[in-house]
Amino acid sequence: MSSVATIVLDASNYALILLLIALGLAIIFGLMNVINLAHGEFLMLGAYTVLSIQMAGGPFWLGLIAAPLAVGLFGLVIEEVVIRRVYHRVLDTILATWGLSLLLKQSIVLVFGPGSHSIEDPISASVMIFGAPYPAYRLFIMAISLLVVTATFLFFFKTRIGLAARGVIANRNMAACLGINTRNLDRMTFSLGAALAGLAGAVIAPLISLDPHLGLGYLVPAFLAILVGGLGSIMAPVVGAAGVGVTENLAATFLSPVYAQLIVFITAVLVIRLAPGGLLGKKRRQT
Amino acid sequence: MTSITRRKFLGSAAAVAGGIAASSSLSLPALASGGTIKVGAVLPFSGGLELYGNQARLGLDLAVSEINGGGGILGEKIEVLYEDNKTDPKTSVERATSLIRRDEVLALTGPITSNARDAMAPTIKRMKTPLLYATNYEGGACSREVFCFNTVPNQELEKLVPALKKEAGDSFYMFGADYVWPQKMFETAKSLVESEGGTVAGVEFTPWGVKEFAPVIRRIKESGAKVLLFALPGADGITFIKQAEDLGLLEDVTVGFLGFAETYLGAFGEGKAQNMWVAVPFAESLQTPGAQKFVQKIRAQAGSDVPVSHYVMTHYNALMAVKDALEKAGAVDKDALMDSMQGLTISTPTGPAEIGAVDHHVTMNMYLAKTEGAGLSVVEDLGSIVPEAGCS
Amino acid sequence: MDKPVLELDGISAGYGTGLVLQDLSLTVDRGEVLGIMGRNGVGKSTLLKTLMGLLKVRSGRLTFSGHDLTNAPSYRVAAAGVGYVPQGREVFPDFTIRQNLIMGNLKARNDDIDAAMDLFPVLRERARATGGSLSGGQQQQLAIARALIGRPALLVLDEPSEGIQPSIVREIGTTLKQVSAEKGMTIMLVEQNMDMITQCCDRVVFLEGGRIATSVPAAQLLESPALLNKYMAF
Ligand SMILES: Nc1ncnc2c1ncn2[C@@H]1O[C@H](COP(=O)(O)OP(=O)(O)O)[C@@H](O)[C@H]1O
Ligand SMILES: [Mg+2]
Repeated sequence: MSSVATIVLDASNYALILLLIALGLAIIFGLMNVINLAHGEFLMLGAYTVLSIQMAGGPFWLGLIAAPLAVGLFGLVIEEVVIRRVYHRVLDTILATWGLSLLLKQSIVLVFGPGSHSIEDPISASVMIFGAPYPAYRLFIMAISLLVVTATFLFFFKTRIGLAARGVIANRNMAACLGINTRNLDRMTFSLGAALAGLAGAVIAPLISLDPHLGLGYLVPAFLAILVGGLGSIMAPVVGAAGVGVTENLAATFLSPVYAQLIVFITAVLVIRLAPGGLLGKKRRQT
Repeated sequence: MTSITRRKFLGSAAAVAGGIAASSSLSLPALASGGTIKVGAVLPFSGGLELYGNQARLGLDLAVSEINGGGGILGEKIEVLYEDNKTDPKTSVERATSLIRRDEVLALTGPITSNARDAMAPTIKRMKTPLLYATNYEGGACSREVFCFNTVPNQELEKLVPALKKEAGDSFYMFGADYVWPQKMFETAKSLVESEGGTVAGVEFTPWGVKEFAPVIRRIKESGAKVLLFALPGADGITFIKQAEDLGLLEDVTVGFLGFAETYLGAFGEGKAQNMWVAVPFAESLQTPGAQKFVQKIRAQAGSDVPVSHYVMTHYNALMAVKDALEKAGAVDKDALMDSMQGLTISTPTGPAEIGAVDHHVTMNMYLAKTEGAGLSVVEDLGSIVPEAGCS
Repeated sequence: MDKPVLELDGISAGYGTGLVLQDLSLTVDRGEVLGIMGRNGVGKSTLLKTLMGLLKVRSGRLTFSGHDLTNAPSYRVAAAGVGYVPQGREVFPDFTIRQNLIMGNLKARNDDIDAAMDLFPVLRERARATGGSLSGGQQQQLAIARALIGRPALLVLDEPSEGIQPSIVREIGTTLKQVSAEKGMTIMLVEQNMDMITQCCDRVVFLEGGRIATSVPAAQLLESPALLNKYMAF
């Protein structure tokens, strides 16, 4: 059995990756009530942004900065062109974002081909932690995730725009009647959620095979994380991602990946069954 | 550098020639005395496995232009009708049915996945249409209609396991995707390892779509195994190998990569994933004249940078077998094709191959190779290996 | 004479396919405190929601301070200078009093917040409490302060006395009168409480059948019980 330190590091690493991915999804859902089925493809776009820059001879770090900007901008356009027209119609938003996800996948196949690509390790060194080597890049990912999550929380809990955004989650109509420009907030929210996905995609790109279907493998646990954590709260995905990530990772460590997935699904179903609003969930206001 | 330039030159020259041939063949059927022999190809061109569909198509396209360029089969041109099964079993059945009913194809080829093939099986049987399956698989697809042109587990493993044991050590760990092909592969591997006096340190499976393999990688590392038999195809497999590299597993174990094809090579990144061992019916780096000529012809047709994996060759072989079988039978119909294909020996880019008279699986040459630099380097010609098709 | 600050011209609106307001016209003068009365379910809240852009205007025109706000989104109505205190108050239960006030004006400075708390001293006493922990009367005061912190030209209130102790109702009435007098603010007050109406209003309109049935000076109201019987009795 691995040392406790390694197990803890591996589990935190996975949970933090999930959190980074779930965060954008949760923000878009929480503030806009839009279930973004294209979130996985936003992730993919972020990863392929890094790939494009690598192909052009640019460094990984440039890609890491460019990915959230590019995908955030893309999100802004998509909000204006598609999402804005289907707000308040849950089924339509699901269909629209699902269609978008297919379109994005197909576009990537056309431009980059259906096959796998690889991002070179930006940091290939290992760091000794409690006597065992641990890849430095994984530590970097954990730091980035913590940093971004902290920044996001400071934004939502320490700034007035963040307060307004939370006000919109709590009572959209009342917030609008107080002069809060919900239109701009929607633009900002969707774009921010997309940018976070883009960043997450860029960060995980060196760990995985880059292919047009990479989004799905993360989207499912990220959705589970949100369902388990609870909807309509920005704190919820943290709890959900920690729960799902750590459970899956530990089950895979002590049992096997097949059981890990099974256990995560069963636990998630139980949690959703016993606490339909999720662990931190509140009843959402009907507006 | 020069070789690339020459290859490019050859490529474009042949592409022009091929273009002329193709355009003239378009107008020919009207003049030819006979009709056209149609073969339906049910392959994934979207939905995840398009890479394999595209590889298969390269081989089929080359076979078509060679057959038609040589005067066709018994005076008739051959034509392959491609249908995209979207990597989906249900779509495969629909496409197969319409190819048989509407297009009245003589035979079908494809698909790639076993579940698509199994889904198509009843239709094939009912419509008494031959299926030329050319993907490596777990074995057991045995019927009058089905002919298998790629490998079954023992063909990959029989020589690979002893070679790995000699190269790396006695203790084997097996890790693969949670479905029938890896399971059958590992069953065969287990008995081979044990009969060679080795030990199995662990056998483990993973569901599709897992992106984080650290826990499994650590467990394999701690098992002390010297060899990792690896059967996780596609993107998940690439993800695993990348993470195994990062977490230092590839320093401890030598990988036997089952179901390997050159299409993987570009995906690992430069200087990565070295010294992974494979047993394949074809490798593009194979230095025999037949293999090199085949690679050259494919690249002349499809571009100088396409990978040419065994999938290209097996699908090419499958269509060439149709020509030989029909010419031997002297008639163009489904029963003649099926009868005549049994026990037929065809010549392939890697030498003669024999289609089993009873089990319809192909005895062919196999090669031991390993990843080295940016390619696959052939270690040993394993000679021809008889398939254990699993037909009872 | 000034142009009216608010003009509703032939407004129809409602829920789903049914109309609650039908061809309703109403003008409100600058600085006026207008009472709006009518039986339960007659459409008073609907009128205010339509004004706030929460309900679609099916036909007619809505003009405020010279801007056409017909079917403008709520935030534009608010930005044009309309402060809204809804029925049921709708304070943000998880936000502190201070945060609730900031929601009323994201650009509020500390002295704006101080000024809002001066209007209702109880808000200062409990500044760190969350909106949800306040009593009904305190929530009502918070909702009014929250609307006022945005310095509206027109303040609309929907039954502020509902479910609140009489002493606090009186305090609210006094504050409203004072604000209206000091700042020349226009107020539309939907109310059932006669004391509050007579304490605050200059003029009262009665809603009936989807439109304004009658308009009378507030002073006349006490002398004409017939009006109340006609439009308020059940
Ligand atoms: N959200 C709603 N959906 C459908 N009908 C409503 C809704 N709100 C109010 N109504 C109906 O509209 C009419 C007017 O309601 P309202 O404006 O709230 O009356 P009030 O004058 O008591 O404020 C009533 O018949 C009520 O039942
Ligand atoms: Mg009302």
